[in-house]
Amino acid sequence: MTSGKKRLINVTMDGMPEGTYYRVHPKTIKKNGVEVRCDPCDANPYSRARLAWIEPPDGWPSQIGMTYVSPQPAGALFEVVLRKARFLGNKRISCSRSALHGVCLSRLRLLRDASVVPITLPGRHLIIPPSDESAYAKELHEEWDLISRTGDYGPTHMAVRDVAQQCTVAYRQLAGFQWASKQEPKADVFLLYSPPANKSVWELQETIELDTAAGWNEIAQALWKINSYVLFDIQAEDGFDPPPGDD
Amino acid sequence: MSTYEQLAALEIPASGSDVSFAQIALADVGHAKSPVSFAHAGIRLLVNMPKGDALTGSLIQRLTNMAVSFFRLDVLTVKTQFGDERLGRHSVWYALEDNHAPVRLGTAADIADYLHSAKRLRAGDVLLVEFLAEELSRDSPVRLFEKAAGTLKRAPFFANPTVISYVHPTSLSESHDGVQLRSRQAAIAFRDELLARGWPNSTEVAQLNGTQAGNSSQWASDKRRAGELLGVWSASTREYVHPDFQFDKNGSLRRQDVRALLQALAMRDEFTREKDRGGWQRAFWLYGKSPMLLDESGEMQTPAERFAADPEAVIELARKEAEGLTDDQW
Repeated sequence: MTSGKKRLINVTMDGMPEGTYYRVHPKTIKKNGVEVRCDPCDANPYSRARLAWIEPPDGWPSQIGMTYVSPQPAGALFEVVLRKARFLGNKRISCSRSALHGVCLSRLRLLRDASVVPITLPGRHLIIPPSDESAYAKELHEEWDLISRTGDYGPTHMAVRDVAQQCTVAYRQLAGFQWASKQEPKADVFLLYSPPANKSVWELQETIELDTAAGWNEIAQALWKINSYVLFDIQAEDGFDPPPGDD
Repeated sequence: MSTYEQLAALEIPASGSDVSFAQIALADVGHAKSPVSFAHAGIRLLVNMPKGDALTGSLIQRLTNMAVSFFRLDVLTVKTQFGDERLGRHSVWYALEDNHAPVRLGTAADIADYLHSAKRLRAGDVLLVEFLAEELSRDSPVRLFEKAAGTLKRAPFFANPTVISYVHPTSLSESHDGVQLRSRQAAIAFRDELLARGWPNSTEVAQLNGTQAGNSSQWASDKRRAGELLGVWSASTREYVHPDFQFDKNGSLRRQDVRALLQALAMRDEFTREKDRGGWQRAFWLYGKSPMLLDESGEMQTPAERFAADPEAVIELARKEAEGLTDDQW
């Protein structure tokens, strides 16, 4: 099911180069009712996140798996686990440790280049040429802006099917999308679909459980690299709590 | 003639200024031509690119990925390769293929020869690393690597030359203790900003809600204990004050909505009244902007802002966030 709308003026893709990427995923998942360790290289057919390709449209799990990654740890964290964080201004980010329970950050290596549709500017100029100042191009820009920023992912799923349809007509295969992280625009987020990008395109390098001292430090360092500070805990000795008996 | 007559460069000054991308002609390699000034020392990472091509987003991406990967993984390799003081006071080159196997350590001319002979390569296949140092002692390349590790920030595509922000002028890898300390300082600063809003204390809340009790502060205390009012502890005045989201414009407590919200928040251990005695964990949750709460223009809102018009959305958010990472979210 598609809307029939042409979302791309040019059916063109940009390269997603082989190299190091980061992915947030659960430590365990349920398979056939049994809790098993999550393979960080496996695509997730249950995703309903941004631009998830849900096929058939009402089906769940999808016949297509999703893998969200970023070249920067911060980009991967923002797209998944730090969606539950709070932005306090002045580059301060508050994160509840319970939000990290059972969540891992893996460093993966993409073993061969992939092709993705870039949906945030300036990469979006590949699919909507900058010279096109038509009303339709303006409408598409507004739609892709919304899709790359919205927290309501439902409408993004129709867009994926529309783009996939356009690609098929153009004898191309939709392999994924790329956008700039809303919270950290200098970090790109990539979504690869499986198929075509199955687990064999990834090599696992390292996994860190985020709900550990090492994991907290990894998050703190990742955010520090983008000039941000993460606040995990407040400390009674800093005057946050009343003395015993005063409450 | 080689396919590759130009290089895409990522330049990392040793201190102070911005990291940048640039294009450099192969003929200029070794002449330290650069859009940024290497005042004393620096590192330049280069990849081969086809003649006549622009510095595309893909190349920038590849360069950045390789650089980040290189810094993270191969410092020890570099340490052993650069233990030669005969190389002092010169640019030193180190070429790697994508698998990070060292292929050449030598002069700029050696590198140019290598690149010219490497016709089988695709654009971006070879990462060249050039160290520019006043005095290249045994340790300096390693120190430069350590200083540069983690500074690279992805630049927007197609901006040419692209400037990416330099993270820190001196220490490029914050210690665990340093991060912890700064986090504590940041938490204290945010708390003090909220306290400066002048939220009402127990007596003021009681008065605004028309209590006639003799001990007016007891009313607020009872409401807090009943889970119908959120108080946050003010150490400077040794009293609870009460965040303004929970009152209507007349100052009346929105008791039912607040109770439902505090119950939803208490689904998480750290947001129970017992664990969050001072109320600040919950206040931070309420007064920070959430990516899950967007206004009509797509900007993030705080739960406190949304609560006035749409308390159900905030209560639902509290419930949803208590669920942990569900299969549909990643």
